[in-house]
Amino acid sequence: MSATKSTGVPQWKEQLDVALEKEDKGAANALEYPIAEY
Amino acid sequence: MSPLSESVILLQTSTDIRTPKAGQILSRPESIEVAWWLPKSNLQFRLTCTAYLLPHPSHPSWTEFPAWKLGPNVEWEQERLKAYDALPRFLRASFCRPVPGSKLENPEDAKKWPNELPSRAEAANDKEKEQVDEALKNFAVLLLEPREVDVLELAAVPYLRTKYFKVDGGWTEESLVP
Repeated sequence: MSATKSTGVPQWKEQLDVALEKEDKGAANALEYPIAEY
Repeated sequence: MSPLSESVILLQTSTDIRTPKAGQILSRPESIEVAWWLPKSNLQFRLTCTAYLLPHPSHPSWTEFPAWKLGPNVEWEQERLKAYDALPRFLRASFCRPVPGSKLENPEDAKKWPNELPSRAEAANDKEKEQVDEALKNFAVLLLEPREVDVLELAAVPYLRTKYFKVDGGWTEESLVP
């Protein structure tokens, strides 16, 4: 079994955060930032 | 303090509540897949999510938004208004036009549409205030709760692909063939 389980912030979320920071905030894509924290 | 468990992640974006997409989301909110390619990092994300739509309070679907689950103490309409104000001016204007995807009988009409809209506080006259009100009627916050994420790293040689999925409240990952 190659799957590994982790707690806390998953790596994909960290990758997404970093990648979004690099994108042009004024670009006409549908994604706004920051990620919601409620 | 969030009423959600720590493993719940909500991604916030927006949409026009008049679009067919919004109706599709409302009809099957637990079967939403989103694909994003972020070119500067050369990463592709495919997210399988449950979606929650937060429209204008006058919209019939407003009562379907599960505030009780996502944040009973959150002023959700204020959050929606803040999300509108945070948009770039050109994007705000897109909510003050005919329904996206509807037939454009006369292309000349498009020249009459606003190219930009101010925030609520910046609206300087009655016309702008009417346009902002119209945009706010159509503007909906879309919250996405991912339960499976497929990440493809296209900058790596060879490509790397990883699937993340939720199990028992935590995130599990496994490598996939790209």
